[in-house]
Amino acid sequence: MPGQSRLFSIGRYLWEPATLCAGLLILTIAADLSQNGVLIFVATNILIQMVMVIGLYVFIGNSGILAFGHITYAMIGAYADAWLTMSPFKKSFALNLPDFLANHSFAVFPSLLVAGLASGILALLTGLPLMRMGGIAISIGTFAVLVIFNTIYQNWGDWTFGSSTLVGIPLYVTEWVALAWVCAALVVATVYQKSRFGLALRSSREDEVAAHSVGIHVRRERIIGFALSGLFMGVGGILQAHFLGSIAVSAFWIPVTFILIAMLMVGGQRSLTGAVVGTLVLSIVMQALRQLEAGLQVASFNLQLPHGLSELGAALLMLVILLLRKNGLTNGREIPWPFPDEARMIEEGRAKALVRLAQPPQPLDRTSRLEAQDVSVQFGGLAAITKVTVSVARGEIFGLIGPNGAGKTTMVNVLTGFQAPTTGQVLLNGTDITRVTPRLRTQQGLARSFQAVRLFKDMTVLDNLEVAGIGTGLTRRAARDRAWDILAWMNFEDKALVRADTLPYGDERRVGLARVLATAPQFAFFDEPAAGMSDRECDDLMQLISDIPGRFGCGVLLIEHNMRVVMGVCQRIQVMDSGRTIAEGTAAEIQTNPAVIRAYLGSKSEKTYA
Amino acid sequence: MLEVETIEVSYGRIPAVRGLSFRVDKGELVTIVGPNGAGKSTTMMTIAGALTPTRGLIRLGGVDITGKRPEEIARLGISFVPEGRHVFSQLTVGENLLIGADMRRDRAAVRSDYDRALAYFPILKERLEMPGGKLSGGEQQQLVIARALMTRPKVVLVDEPSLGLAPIIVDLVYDILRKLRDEGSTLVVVEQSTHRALENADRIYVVRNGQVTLEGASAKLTDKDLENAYFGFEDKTDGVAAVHF
Amino acid sequence: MQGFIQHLADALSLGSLFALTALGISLLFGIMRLVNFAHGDLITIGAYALIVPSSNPNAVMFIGLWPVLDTIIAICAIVVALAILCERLAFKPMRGANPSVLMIASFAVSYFLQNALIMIYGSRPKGVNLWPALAQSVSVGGVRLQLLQIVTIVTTLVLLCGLTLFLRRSAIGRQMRAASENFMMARFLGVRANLVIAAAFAISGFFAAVVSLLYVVQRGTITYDFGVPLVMAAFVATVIGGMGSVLGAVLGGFLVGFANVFFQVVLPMSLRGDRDAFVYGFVILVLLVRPAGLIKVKSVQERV
Repeated sequence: MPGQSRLFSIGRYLWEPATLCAGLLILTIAADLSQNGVLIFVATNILIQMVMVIGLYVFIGNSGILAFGHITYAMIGAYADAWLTMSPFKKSFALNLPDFLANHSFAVFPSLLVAGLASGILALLTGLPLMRMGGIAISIGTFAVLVIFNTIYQNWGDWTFGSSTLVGIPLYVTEWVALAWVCAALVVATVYQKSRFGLALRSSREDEVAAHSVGIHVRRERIIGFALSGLFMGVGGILQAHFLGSIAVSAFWIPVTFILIAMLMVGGQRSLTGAVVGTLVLSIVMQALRQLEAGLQVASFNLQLPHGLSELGAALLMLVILLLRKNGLTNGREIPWPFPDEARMIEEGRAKALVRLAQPPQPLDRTSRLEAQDVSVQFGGLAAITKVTVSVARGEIFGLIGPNGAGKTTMVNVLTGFQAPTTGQVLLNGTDITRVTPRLRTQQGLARSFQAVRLFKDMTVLDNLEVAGIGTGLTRRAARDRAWDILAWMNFEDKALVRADTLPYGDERRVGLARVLATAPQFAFFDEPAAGMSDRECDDLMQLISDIPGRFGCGVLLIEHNMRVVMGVCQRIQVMDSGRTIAEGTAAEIQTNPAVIRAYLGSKSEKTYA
Repeated sequence: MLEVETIEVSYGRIPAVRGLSFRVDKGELVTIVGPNGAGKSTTMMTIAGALTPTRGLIRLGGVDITGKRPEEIARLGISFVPEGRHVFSQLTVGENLLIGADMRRDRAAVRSDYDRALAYFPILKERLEMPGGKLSGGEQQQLVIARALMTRPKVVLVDEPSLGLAPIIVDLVYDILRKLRDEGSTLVVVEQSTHRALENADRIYVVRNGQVTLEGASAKLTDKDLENAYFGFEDKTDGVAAVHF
Repeated sequence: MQGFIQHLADALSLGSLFALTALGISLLFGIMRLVNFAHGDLITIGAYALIVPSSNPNAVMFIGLWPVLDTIIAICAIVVALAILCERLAFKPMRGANPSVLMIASFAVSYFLQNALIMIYGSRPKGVNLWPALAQSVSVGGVRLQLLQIVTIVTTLVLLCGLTLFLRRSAIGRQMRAASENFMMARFLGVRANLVIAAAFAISGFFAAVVSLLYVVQRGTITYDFGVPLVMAAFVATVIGGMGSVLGAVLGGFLVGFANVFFQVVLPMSLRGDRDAFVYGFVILVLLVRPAGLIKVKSVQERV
C-alpha cells in the first residue's frame, strides 16, 4: 500500500514537532481560558524564550559545541526590527536614524522577516572566523562576539539610544503569535535536523575525526547551523521587543544567556523535545520560587523567602542536572514514534536494494593505482617510517603487516592525509595528492576505517552510512539508497534502524567497514578490522573482505594482526618493521621469508639481527 | 606477591577481559603474551587502578586492592609503566625521575635509588637536564622504567616495552628487566612476541579473547605450544598448516 | 617621551591584571580541562569581602580598614577558601566530565555566586576607597607615574617569578606540571589527584585575590559583576596564548592589555567607547591567523 506507506513516512517525519506543538497548544489554551492576565503574560514570555532556546538548540544540540554569544543575535534582530516598525514619531524621540528609516514605519510581519534574516546573516559572518577554531576555543570565541556587539550597541547612540531603554515599540505579540513562532521554529528545526545538513553536523558532534574521514566539511556545516541558530535567536529577540514594547542593550547580556542555556541543559541539549521541556520546567520552577519570594500564605503564617532565590534555584537545578543526568531530563531522546513500522521500513529498504543489487556491478578499472613513494615520517627526532614505498591497484586486496609500532598506521595516515610525510609523495592515478586534505581525499575515493571504529554513536546504523554518502556528495535520497544497498549486500539490514552504540562489538566493526564502503571508495583502508573478533566472526569478515573488490570495484588495503585473515584474503602482502619495508610478496612467499619470521613472531637469534 | 582472580572488565558494554586469573611470586619475571585486543593492556590498567573490574579480585601481598584509586595502588607498591612510554615531555629527565619518588618520605633512600637508577641507565645521566620529550624512543623507554623503579615498588608492571623500538634496543631493555629480576624485583611484562617471552620470562601466560589459554614455566613450553595458544587454533593439524609461517 | 612611557605603564599595568587573571584560568584548564567562568566572581568576592555585608548602597569598610598586610592576608585567605569550596562542592563531583560540561558548570557556579552577592549586598554599585595613597603620582627618572601602576607591575613580576619558581622547584609544582601533561600517568606514579587539583584551585584563588585588590583600588567602585570584564579578557588571552599553556596565558594577557591601550590611544574620540569592540575584533583576527593560539599545547590536541 504505497499511499499508506507515504502517510507513515510523513507522519514519522513530523511526529516530534507535531506532538510538541499539540502539547503547547493545549497549555496555551488552558492559560487563555484562565483569563488570568499574569498567567497569560508568563505563558507568552515562556513561549518567546522557547523560540530562543530552540535557536540555541539548533547549534548547540546538533554541533555539541557550547555557545555563549547567541543573545547578541537576539539583540541585532530586536533593534533592526525596532528601526523598521516603530512609528516615525516615536523614533524621533530617541533615535537619529537616516531619513529613509526615520520617516517610515513598516508592517510588522515583513519587518520581522527582514530583521530575523539580518540576525542570521550576522551569525553567518561571525561564524566564519569562529568556526576555524576547535571545540572549546569556539565557545570562548563566542564571548568575544558578545562583547564586540554589546560594546558597539552601547555606544551607537544614534541607532540604539545607547545605554538607555528604547521604548515605544509597537505591541502585537500575544500568546498566539508566540505559539505560532514556536511551532514554526519546531518545524524548521526538525526539517534542518533531519536534512543532510543536520545529519552532517550531528555526525561531527559524535566524532569530528570520523566525520572528516567520510568527507564531511565540518566547518561549513557548523557555520550553517550557527547561522540558522542565529536567525531563530533574532526572531526570539524581535518577539520579545514587540511583547514588552521596549528594549535595552544591557538586557542582552550574560544573565539572560545563562537562563537560556540552563533551559536547554535542564531539558537536554541533544533533543528538540529537551529544548521545549527544559524551557517549560525551568520557567515553572523559577516562577514558583518567585511566588515564594513575593510571599505565600501558608495556614496562618506568611512564608516569604529572600529575593534572588529563583536565580539561585535555577543555577542549582542546572548543576544538579549536569551532575546526575548529563543529557537532561529527556536524556537526549525525542518523543518516540508510537507505530511499530520498522519492520516495514526495513522490508522496503531491502526490497529496493535487492533490485539494484541484481544489476551487474560496474566493470573494474584495474589500471588505477594508489602509490606512496619513498615516504618518510619523523615525529620530533624519531623516525616513524623511513623511505617506504607502497603501491595498491584497484581490484586488489593488499595487506600491510608488521609488529606493533612498525609504522603501519602512520603509513595509512600518510596515504589518507591524516599525517603529512616529512619527505616523499602520495600519488592517486599518477596525480600528486600529498598536500590534499583527508576530506578531499575521501571525495577523490580514499576512505578508511579506524582501529577504534569511531562510529557516530548516537545515530542509527543507516544514518552512519548515510553520512558517508552525504560526505561524498550524494543527495539525502541517493545516500539512503546506497546505505540500504550496502546493508542488504552485507545481510545486515535487520539492524539498519538500531542505534550504533547499542551494537555488539563485532557488529560495530562491521558497520565501520560498511561506512567506508558507503563513501564509494576507489581504495578502502581497513585498520585492524578483525581486532577482538571471535574465530567465527573472522571467517565472516574474510568472506566479506574478499567480496568487496568484485562488488564495489575498489582496491583494499588491509592492516591486520590476525594472520589467518591476512593470509586468507590478501593477494599481495608487504611487511614492515621499525618503519621500513622488510619483505613483499604473496602469502606463500611471506610465510617462508626468514626476515619476516624474525621480525614478526620474534626470533631466538635476535642478537645477530640489528 | 600479586594475585589476580577471575577478573572481568568491560568498556561500556563491550567485555575486554572475561574471567582472567594469574599470579606473580616474589622475584619472578612473568610475561603475559597474546595478540592485539586480547585484553592484556586492559588487565594491566585494571591492576593499576585506571579501570575497575566488574567482577573478580586483585590482591597485593594478600591485601585486596580491587577498585582502589591509581595513586593509592601506586603507594601500596605497584608501579605501572603503560604502553607508549608517556614520559612527561616538558619535564627534564631528572624531574621525571623525581616525580616517581615524590610520594616517598625516606629522603636518603630516594637519593641512593636515584643514583642507582642512573647507574642502571647511564644514558639518562648524560641527559639529566634535557626535557623528556627530546629523548629517543629507546631512551624514553629506559626513562619510564627508571622512573617506575624510583617508587620502590613491590611489583613493576611493564606494558609492551618493545613497542616501536629497534630490536637492538629491545634487547637492551630486556637485559635490564632481567637484571632487575636477578636483583630481586618482581615484574610483570606484557609482550606480543612469543619468542621474546620464551627468552626472557620465568613463567608465561598466554591471553586470548580476555582469558588465559595457556600458562607454564617458560623452560617447559615450546614455540609451537605458544603459537597454538596465541592464535587459538582448535584443530592443530589443519590450522597450523594453513597459517604457520 | 612622557606620553609614551605613560602609555607603556598603562599597557603593562592593565596587561598585568589580565595576565594574572588568565594565569588563574589557564592553570585549571591545564590540569583539569576546566574553563572556569566563576574565576571572575572570585575576584568580585575578594572586593566585596573588604566591606561590611549590607544591601545599603553606602559601603562601610571592614577588612579594608585593617593594616595593609592583614587586609591582604585576610582577602587571600577568604578567596582561596572559596575557590577550594567551589572545587569540593561543584567541580569535584564532575571530575572527568568533558570540557563543555565543566565549562557550563562553572557558568552555573558563576551565576549562583553573582546572585548570592546581589542577595547579600544588593545590585547597586558601591564606592570602595581602598588604600587611597596608591592613587598618588610619583616621579621616576623625570617621568610621573601613578603609584598604583608601579605596584601592579611589580606585584605581577614578583608573582610570575614566584609561580615559575614554584612550578620548577617545588615537588607540588613538579607534580602539577606532570599532571597537566598526563594526569593518569602522574597518578600511576602516586601523585594524588585531589592534592594537585586543590593546589591548582588554591593558587588560582590566590591570584584572583591579588587581582581583586589591585583592581578595586583602580576602579573605586564594585558591582556584582565586577570581575566579569577581567574574566572575559582573560578568556580570550588564554585562547590567544594557546589553551593550557601557562606562558601563553601571560603573553596573551599582556597582548590584550597592550591592544586595549593601543586602541585607546589611536582611536578618534568618537570611537573611544567602542574600544572593547576593536580589542576583541583584533583578538578574532589573531585567531584567524593562528587558530591554535601562540603556543600550541600538544596534550590538548586530539590524536587519530
